[in-house]
Amino acid sequence: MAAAGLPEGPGRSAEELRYYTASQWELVWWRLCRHRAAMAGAFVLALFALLGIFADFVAPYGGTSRDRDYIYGPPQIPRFWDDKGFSFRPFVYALKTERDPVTLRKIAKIDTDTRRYISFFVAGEPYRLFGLVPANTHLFGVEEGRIHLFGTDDLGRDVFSRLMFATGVSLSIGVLGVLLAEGLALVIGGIAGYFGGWIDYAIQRLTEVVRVIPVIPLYMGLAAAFPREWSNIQVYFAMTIILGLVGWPTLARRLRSHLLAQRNEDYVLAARLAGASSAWIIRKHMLPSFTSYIIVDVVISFPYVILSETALSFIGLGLRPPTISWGILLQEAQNVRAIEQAPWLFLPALFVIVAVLAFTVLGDGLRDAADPYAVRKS
Amino acid sequence: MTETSRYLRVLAGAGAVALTFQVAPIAVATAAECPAVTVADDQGIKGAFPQQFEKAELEKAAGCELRFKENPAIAELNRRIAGNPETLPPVAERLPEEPLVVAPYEAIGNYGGTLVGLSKATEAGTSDLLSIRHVNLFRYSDDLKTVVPNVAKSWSWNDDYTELTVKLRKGHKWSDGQPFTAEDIKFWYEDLILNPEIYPETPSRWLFAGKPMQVEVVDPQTVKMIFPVPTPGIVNRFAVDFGQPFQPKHFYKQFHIKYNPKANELAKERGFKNWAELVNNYYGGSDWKDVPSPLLKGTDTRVAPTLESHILVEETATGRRLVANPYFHMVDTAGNQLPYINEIEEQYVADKEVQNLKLTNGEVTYKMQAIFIEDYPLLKENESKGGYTVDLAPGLGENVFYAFNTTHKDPVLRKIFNDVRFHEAMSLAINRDEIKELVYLGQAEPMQATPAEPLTVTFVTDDQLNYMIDYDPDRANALLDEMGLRDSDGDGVRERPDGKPLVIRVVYSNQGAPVKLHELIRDYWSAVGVRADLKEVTSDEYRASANNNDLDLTVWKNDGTSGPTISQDTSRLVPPFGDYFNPGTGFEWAAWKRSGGKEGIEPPEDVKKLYDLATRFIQVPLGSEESNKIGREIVGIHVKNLWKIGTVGNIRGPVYHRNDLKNFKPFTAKSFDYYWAYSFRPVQWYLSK
Amino acid sequence: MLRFVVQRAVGMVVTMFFVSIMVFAIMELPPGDYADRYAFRKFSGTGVSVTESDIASIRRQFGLDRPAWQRYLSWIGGIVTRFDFGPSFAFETSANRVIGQRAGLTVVLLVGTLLLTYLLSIPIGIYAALRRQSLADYGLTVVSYLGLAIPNFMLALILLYVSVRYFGSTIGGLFSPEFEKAPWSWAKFVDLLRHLFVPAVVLAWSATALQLQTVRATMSDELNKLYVDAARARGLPEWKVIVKYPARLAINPVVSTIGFDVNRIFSELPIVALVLSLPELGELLIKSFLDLDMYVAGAILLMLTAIIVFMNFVSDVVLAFLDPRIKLEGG
Repeated sequence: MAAAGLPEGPGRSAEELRYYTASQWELVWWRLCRHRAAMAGAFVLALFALLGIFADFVAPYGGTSRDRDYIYGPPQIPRFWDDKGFSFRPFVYALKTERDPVTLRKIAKIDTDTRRYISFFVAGEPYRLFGLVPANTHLFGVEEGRIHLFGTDDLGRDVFSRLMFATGVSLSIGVLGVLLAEGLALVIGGIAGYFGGWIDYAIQRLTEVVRVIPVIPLYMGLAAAFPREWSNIQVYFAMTIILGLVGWPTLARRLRSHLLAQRNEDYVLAARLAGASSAWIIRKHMLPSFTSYIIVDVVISFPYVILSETALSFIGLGLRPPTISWGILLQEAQNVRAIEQAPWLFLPALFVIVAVLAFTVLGDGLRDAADPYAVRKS
Repeated sequence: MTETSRYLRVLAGAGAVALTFQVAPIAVATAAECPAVTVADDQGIKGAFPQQFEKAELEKAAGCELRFKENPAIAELNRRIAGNPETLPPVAERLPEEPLVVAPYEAIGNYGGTLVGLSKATEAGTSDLLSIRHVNLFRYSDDLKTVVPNVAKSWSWNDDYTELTVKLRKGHKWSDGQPFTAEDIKFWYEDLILNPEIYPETPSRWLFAGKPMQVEVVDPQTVKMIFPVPTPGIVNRFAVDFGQPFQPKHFYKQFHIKYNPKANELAKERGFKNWAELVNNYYGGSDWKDVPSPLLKGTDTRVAPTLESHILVEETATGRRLVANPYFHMVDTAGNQLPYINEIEEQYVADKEVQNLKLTNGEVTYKMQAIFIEDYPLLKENESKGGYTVDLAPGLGENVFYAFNTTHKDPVLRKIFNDVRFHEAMSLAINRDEIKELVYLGQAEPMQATPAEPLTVTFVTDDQLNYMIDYDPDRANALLDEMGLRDSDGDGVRERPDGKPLVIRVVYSNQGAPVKLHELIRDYWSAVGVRADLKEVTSDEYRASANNNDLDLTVWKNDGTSGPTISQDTSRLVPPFGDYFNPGTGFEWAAWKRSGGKEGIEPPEDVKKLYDLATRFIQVPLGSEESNKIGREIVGIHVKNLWKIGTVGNIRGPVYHRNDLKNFKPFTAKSFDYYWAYSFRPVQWYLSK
Repeated sequence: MLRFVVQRAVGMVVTMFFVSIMVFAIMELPPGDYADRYAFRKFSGTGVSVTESDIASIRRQFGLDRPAWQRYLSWIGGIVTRFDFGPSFAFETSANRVIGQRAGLTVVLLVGTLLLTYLLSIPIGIYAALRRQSLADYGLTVVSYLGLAIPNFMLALILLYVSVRYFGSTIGGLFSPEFEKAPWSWAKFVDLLRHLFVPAVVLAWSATALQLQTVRATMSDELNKLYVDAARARGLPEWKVIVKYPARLAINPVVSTIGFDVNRIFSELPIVALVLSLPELGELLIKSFLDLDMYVAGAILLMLTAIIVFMNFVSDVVLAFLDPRIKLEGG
């Protein structure tokens, strides 16, 4: 694509024409597509979202079903061949765990003589897709026995299945939390900006006060105040709303200063000289500059919300079993026993890390794409 | 005199002299040192009580003279005790005239070393380490059945168990060298426990049928406790209780208004509001020994004198340090003054994983409290790396119960919870074998909950323990169907008579039972159509809600049920089948009884019978035929009504000790009810070099 | 300049006033109060039936039955006039004493973390800006983002495990038992570093990620500016070109966000300290919230916030000193 700066001479190519007549969004999109890391991030997130939405289908078992024969067992890796020969269909070995009489530890016993072939689109435990449509087809499974791609935890629950459900829960809560926070930021920032004067000043002061208090202690105090009858989910939504309340000052403040700065930019002056009204200027010129800003901010806030959920669940202020989320799975892995005897329980951490990295990289890419001055001296 | 006879006389004289010289050493030799009698090698010498002797008893049985020796470091340790005189009198003067002679388990120990232990915080998870240095009038021997003397030398009852006479040891001194006498026991009861400014309400456990006992000082070594009702169980209490029924009168006199009319002024000078606050600066307002000391509070450099084996010399927010008590009243069979171990270092570690790391790293000498079976595999695997051993010992009072609220505020639920078929169904729906495997790693036995811990009494029958513990969901379903609770809308949950779904809110604290257990129970009950919603709260919230009659059911460990406890404390036998900190059920029944029928709900006949039986139970000695008969009846009523549905019992838990800790005998029980290590004689532990 | 400083100082006091009200409100939020806890402590396991009147009298004893505004005034009055934060119910002594014993470790952790953060982020950020879009740049970015992405409690546990198992260090507190009472020496200092290592790394890693990006971005912006080209054209050696202006300007945003960093660190510290069993203020804060030892919780919250507000003030002043534009805008 052509670099910034006016082309010289007549006879612009079709490409160049497309570039100059493209809308702002198309420009952003094109630049984003070129940012490979950001695209990778977007792809990963889309994958996670799919896994989460279709968790019931992708997971071979329910989130709380227990395998009595395979407790605290290591992951089973599907194979295509062994000393008995090659097989097109992947298979796993039959196995169970037995308790070592001295250490009481569960040891996995693999039966290399029995192959369990993996089939796809098998019938399994019933579930309701989106909570509405009853179904019982699962992406994969084995006819006899069970398959545990990521091993099992100490109650015999399949880690892979739980991870799928956790992905759905954590991502959806992340989305909700961020949307709430952004919505609040816009509303309150808008009010402050619109009314100005002492309301603006009061809100400013209040934001400073709230911003200054460390977040976790603030949560603790608030969480302790919730009524006893509330269920875990209710408590968590309340916490998310509060997260939003605490987060809005930052965004609102930045928007406000951004707007104030933009007011003095040349293009605004030019537009005014050309006779545009304030409303027009705001709508056509300033708003677009700040929506991209918002989008970037939204994407960058996701990791924060997700990590907050893990941290809060860890202290016991967030979600609690039987809900399944990344934070809950990590809490179950948070012990020395898991490090030494069941490291596969840390796999959810991998998902968290990848998701956070993906969001961050995507956010960076969006920001670079939306920022017209970044196309210099690459 | 002829030549011969003179010669014979000289010979006789020489012979006599020679004989004397032969005999004399023998005569001197009979006043020999006492043999090192140990439990491992008792050399045929036994005393009236197992594993210990009175001095005179040992000397007579072994034909020896006990010579006392002391810890070479004791003078230096003494200098670290604030308020003690600089120079120590010789050991024979520090010990009572009749010290308690302890036979070590394996060998006579060597002096020295520091025992490192962990607690969670200043007052959390500390009772384990408190029990190491604990003393009381009596103690349970490690068979957990025989009461033996400790501070007391002997005791006797009158015919109807209303007068207990206790003999103390002559020459027994407090840790600062001042004499310990019966006056200290009288002072403790009359001037602390009964004093309304120290205890605005006298703790009900020190009242007997609501009335105080009388403490009479017969002579400095003899005290008589006179009870308003027969109280045979009080000896058991003194053998297991954390509360030591004596306090240093000579020390507190100066702060107590009864003995020092200027106590209030003194208090104000020292910065306290009144004399009671000044006293509590040292006493801490309770019989617990882990209350913040003046050292932590910064109000003094010395603490109140003690009779325990170690005394506090340092306390911060991160831990405590104690040194050996130079005036401790026990010696071993070779005459060495106990304890062997110089110092105890107590560190606070709140996080379980950091604790696990410290344990597997061999940084801790001993720990029993707050180690759980789920960590056993980890600990066991690292034994050789860390240089320690971890054993399993049966826990007492660990059977987790689920008790439905029989006096629930919601009348529909109340009716359901009062139907015994419901309790039976819920009990039959539980797969106890699976619980045993998954939650307790196989180290338990399916067992019904009984108000008396079966390992500690002899009157619980197998039928009672096996009542309704089968895993029989079909029968459970049949019972629920019979009750009329059907699932008419096919959503998998039965409906109540008023049409709403039958949902039980299970509110729990993770201190009362392992969380995994609740998840399993929820699965079992929903399989028979009863939905359970889980909610975890803090212990305080749980207690507050439960005592306020706000919960659908209570769930906790079935503690406070061992023989010595129920023989003098009936709180588990009658409504609310528990106390403030471990509430049971039937709160309104308890209110009815308390108010004499004016408030609350009238309980069924079975419950009314219990009040009667319980009162009779504590008035007969534990283990007697009468006691067994009444006990069996009480347990029968409880089991029949299934107020508390039990899961598994005889749960074995880990006990950890480092390999350099010697004379450590694997515990036969792991329980607070017997005060942790107290019965297993930590005073004779030693650290090998 | 003086007017600016005074303005800011007044703003600081006003903010702290509102903060104190907010903190007090938080202290009041949880239902129940220490009287319930105290009853538990005093009578645990004794079979004493605790009645409401017992608890009420305990409440009176601690002065917890007075109306909220009265308690607020006496609390804030005590702090402002006597620097007395009230009693600690759990430890039966003054809150000051309890906090004092732990404040040292918290400050050391804070300073250590900040130092580590700046020592890492500034040079690396500059380097990354110079080698923009290169493999090194991407690599460093990913590594730093890992610090943000890995949940810090998990990282703390894993690092702790590794340091205990493979490096044999003891856990908990600032020093090993041998060095606690010993006078300062090189060995004691090394011991301190060994203990600080895990918490500082855990906390600094995520802080570094953010600062690194900021430094990198500002640095790149500056490097793109015309004066850099001009300086280069004039023949200044490369390193001088970088250090003389761009680097110094790149440090500006870092300075301006010190308060923000401190806030973040104080937010994460409680969890990390909990996992590592470090006796410092954040962990005490959690404990006192759970114990409803309100004066201690409030005092810690107030202190932490005061430090943050003060750091904000300092960074504003320093920034104004460095960059005159800020002063004129009035912030």
